[in-house]
Amino acid sequence: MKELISLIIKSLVDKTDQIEIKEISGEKTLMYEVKVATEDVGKIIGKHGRTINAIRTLLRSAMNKDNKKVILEVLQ
Amino acid sequence: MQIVEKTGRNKDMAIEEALRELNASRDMVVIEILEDEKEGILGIFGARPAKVRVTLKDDKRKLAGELLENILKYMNIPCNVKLETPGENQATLSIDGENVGNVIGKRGSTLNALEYLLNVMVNKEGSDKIAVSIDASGYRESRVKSLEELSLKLAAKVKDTNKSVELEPMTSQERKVIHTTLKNNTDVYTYSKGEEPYRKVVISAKNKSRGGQGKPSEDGARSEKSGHSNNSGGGNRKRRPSHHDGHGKDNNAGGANGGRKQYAPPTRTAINTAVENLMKATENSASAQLKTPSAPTEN
Repeated sequence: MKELISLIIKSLVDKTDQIEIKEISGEKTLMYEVKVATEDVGKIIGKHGRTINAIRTLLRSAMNKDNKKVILEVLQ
Repeated sequence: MQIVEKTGRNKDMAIEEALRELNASRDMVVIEILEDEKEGILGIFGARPAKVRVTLKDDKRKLAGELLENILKYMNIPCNVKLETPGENQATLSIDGENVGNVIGKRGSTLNALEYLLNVMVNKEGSDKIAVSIDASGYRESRVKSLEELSLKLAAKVKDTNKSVELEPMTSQERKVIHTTLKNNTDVYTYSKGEEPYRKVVISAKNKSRGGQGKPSEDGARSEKSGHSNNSGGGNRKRRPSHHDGHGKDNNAGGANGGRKQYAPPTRTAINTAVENLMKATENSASAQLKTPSAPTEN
């Protein structure tokens, strides 16, 4: 799961060395907090949050079997 | 992305040399001519070699395929990805496997998300963009078919009930399918409303005798109103259209105001006559009321 997020974020941003992904595991939810370089924040969010929502959709379908909620947050 | 710049005695020689270095054929690359060759006097003075820049285009297609394979691997969905090139600057990736339903998602939501993400990733750099489309075991085709069937069914329903039908929000490609299937339909017309992620198609009945539904009914109401005011104008009916013609569309409001002032006396008299009529009517009805109870007793 974490590899999937890091692959997606890596291919979206320019400064690949400044990516930080933190996993917070709960009973019913999995939360990921993503930190990227300030100039790359817009790239992973996209116009009207289209890109981040597309990533969330992907994660949801990747999570389908475990019946857990996935939360993806971008930290600034 | 691989870019090669070459100089040669003429364009073709330079391009060929670049292609040899890239190990590519002509349809796999984008060729830019930076400097055309120039033949000098006697081929010596002022002669200039041609300079070309050749960019390998297929790179992006391969990148898209690799990215998709990797993403699916991390999503734990074992399947095959096939890369096709239907045209210039286009790439189609078809996914085949057992658990493809998971890739498609509800009404293709996951598939659309994947497609959008791959487009963003692939076109991150470089000036020439390619359009990546993803299909999963013939989903797109079957979706088009079911959309066509649905639109025909709904068109028949709209024709019968004369009420417009709103479809659920769809992507632009899906909306296009419905618009094109009902384009030549004589009974209904289609339009889209709403803002982008929630934009949806509305199928409405074409009503030739009346105003019809939706937009035409508004127009019908407006023309009805103007007709009414023209009638109330009475003797001035002839003057009014010319008055309107004199003003532009923007001045319509001002024109209407001027019209109102002009008609003030007639309307006042109209009110007076109306009031008089009303009073007469109430008198009549009052007398009628007085009479009616007595009528049964007489009989």
